Order: sequence, then C-alpha cells, then structure tokens
Amino acid sequence: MVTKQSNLLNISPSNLKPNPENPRLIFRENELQELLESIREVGVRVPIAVYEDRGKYVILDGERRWRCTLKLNHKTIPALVQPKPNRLENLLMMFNIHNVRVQWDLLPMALKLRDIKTMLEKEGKSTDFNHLAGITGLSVTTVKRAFELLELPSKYQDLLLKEVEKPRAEQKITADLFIEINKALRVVEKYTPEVLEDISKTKFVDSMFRKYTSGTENNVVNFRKISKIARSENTGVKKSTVVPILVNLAKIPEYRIDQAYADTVSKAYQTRDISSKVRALADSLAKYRNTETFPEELKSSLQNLRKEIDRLLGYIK
Amino acid sequence: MKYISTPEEAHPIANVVFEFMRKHGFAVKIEKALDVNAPYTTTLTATKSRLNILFETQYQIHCDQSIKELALWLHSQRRYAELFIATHRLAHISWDIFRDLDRSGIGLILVDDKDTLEIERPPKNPALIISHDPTLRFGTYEKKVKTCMTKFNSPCSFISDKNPRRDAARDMCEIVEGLTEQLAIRAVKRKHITLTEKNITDQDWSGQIDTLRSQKACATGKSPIIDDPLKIDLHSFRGIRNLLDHKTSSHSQEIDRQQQLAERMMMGPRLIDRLVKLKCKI
Repeated sequence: MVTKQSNLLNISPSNLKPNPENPRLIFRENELQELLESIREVGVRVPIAVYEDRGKYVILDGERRWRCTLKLNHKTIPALVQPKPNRLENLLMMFNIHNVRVQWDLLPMALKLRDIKTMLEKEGKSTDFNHLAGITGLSVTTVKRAFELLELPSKYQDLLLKEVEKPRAEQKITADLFIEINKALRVVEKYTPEVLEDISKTKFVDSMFRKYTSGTENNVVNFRKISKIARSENTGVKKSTVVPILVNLAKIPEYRIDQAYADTVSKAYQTRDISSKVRALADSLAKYRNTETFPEELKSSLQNLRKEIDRLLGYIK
Repeated sequence: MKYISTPEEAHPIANVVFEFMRKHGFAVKIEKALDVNAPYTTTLTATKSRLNILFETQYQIHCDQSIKELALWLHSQRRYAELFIATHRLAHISWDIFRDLDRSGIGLILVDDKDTLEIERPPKNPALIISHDPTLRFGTYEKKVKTCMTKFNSPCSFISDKNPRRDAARDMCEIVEGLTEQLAIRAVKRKHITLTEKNITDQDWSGQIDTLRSQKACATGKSPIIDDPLKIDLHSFRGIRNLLDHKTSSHSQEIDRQQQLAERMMMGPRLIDRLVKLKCKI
C-alpha cells in the first residue's frame, strides 16, 4: 500500500527491509523501548529515509523507527524516498547518518569499515586511517581501534559479537579488553621478542583473556603494565630479568600482572618517577632568588621536605 | 529464527518459549500480529485450534503501556487468547510490575539458563471471564456466588496443570442444586406440594425440577411453582455435571468445554436469583 505525495510516501512497514550495510546490528531493549513508547503516543513524526530496490524499500535512516512501527502494528510509516546509492555510497551514508546519533558497537562497525577499505582499494583511493576517518565521520582513534579488533582471531571476534547482544552494563568481554591485550602484545613483540620464542602470540592472547575471564585480572587497564614491564630497559632493568617473568605471566594462570610488575620494574619506575619530580622541584625552586618574597607556606613545606631528605640521606650514609 | 522487532537480548528467551510451545503441538509464528487492528505485535503467537497464546519476550521486564493496551484490546474483543510476558528468571521484577500484570490479566513466564520454563503467573483468558447482571439478588447465597465467580475468573492458563474453573463450576452447580431442593421442601412444608419431605429428598435433582413444574404434585387450587422456561433452564444448567464429569479427548474439545462452562456459569447467578425469589414467595 503506497500513497504518493511528492517523494514523501506512506509505506506499509511490511514493504520495507533493513539496510544490509547498516553496521548497527544490535538493537538493545532499553533503546527500542523508549522510542516505542514515544511512537505509540505521537506516531512517527520524522519520516524515515529509504531507497527503492526491486519492489521493496531499503532503509537508509530510521531502522529503529521501522522496528517500532512493526511492533505497534502500524499500517503505514512516512518515508522519504531517495535515489538508489551504489554500495560504497550506501555504506558511507550509513556511517554519516547513523554514527552521529547512536554509538555503534566497535566490532560490527569495524567489519563494515573493512568493506569500505576494500572498495576504496579497488577504486585506487587512499585507505589510510585519516582518509577513512574523514569520509566516515569517525575519529582517527576510532578507526585505528576498529582495525585493531579486526586483527583478533575469529573465535574472539565471534565472542565479541555475541557479547554485544547483551545490555552494555552487563557486557564483561568488551572491545577494550582485546585492544588493551593487543597493545601489550605489540609492545612485548617490539621490546622483548624473546618472550614470543617461548610462547606464541595466540597463546599469549589466550592466556591474558583467561586471566581476565577467570577474575585473576579484573581491570582491562592492568594490561598496560605488561607494556611497562616489556619496556624495562628504559628504566635500567635488564631484559634478562623481565623475559622469564613475562613468560611466567603468560604460562601461569594465577600469576597476576600486579605481582609481575612488583617483581620486575615497580621500584625502577618509582625511582624514575621520584627523580623526575625532584628535578622538576629543583628547577622550580631555582627561580626563587629573593628570600623576602618567599611565601611562608612554601617555606614550611620545604622545611618538612628537608627533614625527610636528611632522614633518608642519614640512612644512605 | 529471524526476529526483527524483538531486541537481541530477548532472543534466547524467545527461542526457549518457541521450542516449548512447538513441543506441545502449537503452531508458533514469530512477530505476527493477532489481527490487523491489534495495537501491538508480540514476539511469538502460538496457536492451537481456536486458542492463541501470545508471548512478549523481554530481557529486562517492563509492563509498558503498549503491552497493557494489547491486554485491554484482547479483553474488549473478548478474544479466546492468553497473553504472557516471558523473561529471564534472574530479571529484577518489582512489586509495581506484579501489580500491573495482575491488573491487566497478563501472565508471567520465567526462563532460566538451563532453558527450562516455568509459569510464574497464569494470565486471564478474556473469552472466559464471566460476570452477572448487578441487579440480581442472591440472599444468603451472595457470598458463595461471588466466591464462585471470583474463582472462575481467577488467572488460569491452558498450558498450566491447575484449572480452578472446574471447581468453581462444581460449586455453582451445588448451590443451584441445593436451592432447588430447598425450594421443593419449602413448598411441601407450606402445603403447596402434596408430597412428603422424604419423597423430595429421595428424588434426584432432575426429579425435583420436574416436581416443581408438575401440576399433579400441586395441592388443590395451587399452580406449579416454576414455569416451563425456568424448568428448561434448570435442566440445561444441570448439564454442567456432564461437562465436569467427562474428560475431553482433544485440545479442540477442551476449548469447547471451557467455553461451555463459562456459558453455564453465566446462567448460574440468574437461576439462583429466580429460585431465591420463589423461595420467599411461597
């Protein structure tokens, strides 16, 4: 049932189909519910955007509104009919229309970004992250994170796709987890490649993933400490000290990252941290030449500091 | 299974309900509105004979206005249908939701991680909800009649083992039978009927109805206590016994049986009103 009014039509919801290029595969209950109640009360106020394809209309913008009208058994939905785009145009339109409104889940979006990249390559166009970010309306960081996820083994990609079906608050396995593990792996590969002679990359990822899912690690940010351990030479700790620890970290499920950090580079980083702060303090104090303008509050703090320094230097003697 | 308007989180629950209903011989449709005018499309519609069981599957339970509207629409149409919300066993269910479900006659099904399903609250089938003319008077039977009606109207599902409707129908039957006998005994005591009390108590219910309509049993100068239409109605109501005593052999028969019980139950209060009035008149 189609009633024509310029290019604004009232189309039966059963005559519409979702856009196969929409990366927003997941439609969550709470998001749909709010919209459903609003449409139930006032109807669809903003027409959806569609294009015609073999007797059916494909949705460019308004899939959630369409789903709600199906749920509410509406007979028609207002729709603006646009010319049929080619696949690349369609994909880019999806990104530009949708992503500004509702945050997409990273992996479904990454899968579509890969398609865009392939099509751009075929057309001989640039596929660097800046260009991809420019044409999709995403930030460069988001594009980079998306492509990092595509490097994951397919079993983890499947797991993530399953996990994103849950409400956000209940998702334990997130894209961030794998991004952090991958970052750690890359640093290990660059600074301590010896670790990966003993344990493969896949096993490293598996091991870190198990640490998280078993509760040995409960914060994805903790994986950043692995990078700090791998870069131990920056702090003066020998590589030969940290390599066996990193191997053990990957091999022993109960071995916590915090413990490995304490066993290797914790003190060295602490020393480096204090030294740089002391240097910064000394530079700041060097600015004071005239004692008359010396603030009383600072004077008292410095006296306390001197006490601590004298105490420590006393131990050192 | 392909869901369009059902949110992803609710798909596993919907799959469990789908399999359960299919195993019980129902034809299950996904996201198909019951009627073009239905105000809401539930996740699943299970159909067998003329019975439709509607399931709205939700990961986090919410009894919103839209589903209440569907419940109201079913009641306004007196549809032979049951409406359930199916959710996860661990879903947080507030007191307000229980109250809304009860008020709207919506049932609740809980599904757990082992894919087992439990009817937590049965729904009300609008076609089987009965009421009586508010002008009817039942004398000392007022409370008993109301209890029967409430019991018959209490939530009950076709897929549940518990069925309070039969008990309610049996109770209503006993009230009418008892009143018939009391009316006949009163007529004996007031010399309206020439039989003895023992003659009356020895008769079965059918005999007592016939006696109340019999001119032969009346004392000289007296006319029968009940008229022909009431006699026919009483005999017809008496047929409720057969409905209660004989088991059904198919779902279709059971659906017929439930509707017949509802029709007879509607007769009950009218007959009681008439019998009470006649008892006072003699």
